[in-house]
Amino acid sequence: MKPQPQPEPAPRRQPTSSPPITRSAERHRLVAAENDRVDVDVLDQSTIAQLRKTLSVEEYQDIHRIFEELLPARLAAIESAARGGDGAELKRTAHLLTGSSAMIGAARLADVCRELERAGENDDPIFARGQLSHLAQVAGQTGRALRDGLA
Amino acid sequence: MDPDDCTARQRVLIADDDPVVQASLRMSLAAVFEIVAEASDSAQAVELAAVAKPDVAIVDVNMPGGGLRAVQGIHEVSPATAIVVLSSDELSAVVRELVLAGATTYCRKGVSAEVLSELLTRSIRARAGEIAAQAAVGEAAAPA
Repeated sequence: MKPQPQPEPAPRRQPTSSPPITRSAERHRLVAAENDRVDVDVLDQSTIAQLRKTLSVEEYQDIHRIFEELLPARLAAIESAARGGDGAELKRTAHLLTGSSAMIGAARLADVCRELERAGENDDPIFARGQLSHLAQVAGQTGRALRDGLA
Repeated sequence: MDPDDCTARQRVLIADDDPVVQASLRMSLAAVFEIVAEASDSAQAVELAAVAKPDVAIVDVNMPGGGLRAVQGIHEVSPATAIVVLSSDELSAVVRELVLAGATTYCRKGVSAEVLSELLTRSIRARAGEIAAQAAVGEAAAPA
């Protein structure tokens, strides 16, 4: 039998600065992370109850005031580190916000910041940048929830 | 201070660069403990510990200058001070390193004032016990 002519192999695509396969994999990973996310409550009511029990109303308000005053600068520092691809700075700035969020019972914000800390530690700027809009959203939710609690 | 003396308030140094954490700890603990000093970095923590000789120091893992330097420094200038490491993570490698460097124990940020107060008191007792045991060993080893 006469052998069939083999089709010409497809010309190999020249790699671009960011190969399509990598971008696709990253997109898939970000979407998977988004789908897998199980958000914790915005506020940890047991921490808040403890603080209310221990502190006077003025002291409690004072801590919230300090937290809210510092929050915009801290979010900006995290965003700057994530966009600049500075893993060490991202880890540091996210860690700072993790700590203060945990102290005042802002559980969901602490949770997002822990993820960003890990992204900084793993030098994963793509994942970190993908989390920035979620961080801003959770920070907004936290601010509203804390203000509602003080009202 | 005698760790079993219930009449005197135990003296605490807070070392954390976060104003939210500092204020929260100060306000939460002030009813039970005497806050003798507050530091924002490891060098300041060591300086203040040398002067104030607190019963216990609460040290943030990630403060400027490093929690490790603060733990080692406080251990050197004020050996009787118990050191409680404050961390956002549970049992991270860094926390283990700090405990090995001389911290008495660690605590996660966000625990209740009651739990933290109990932990501080226990740490002070534990450190006092260690110091007494070291002194006893030293006396036994000394030539008659």
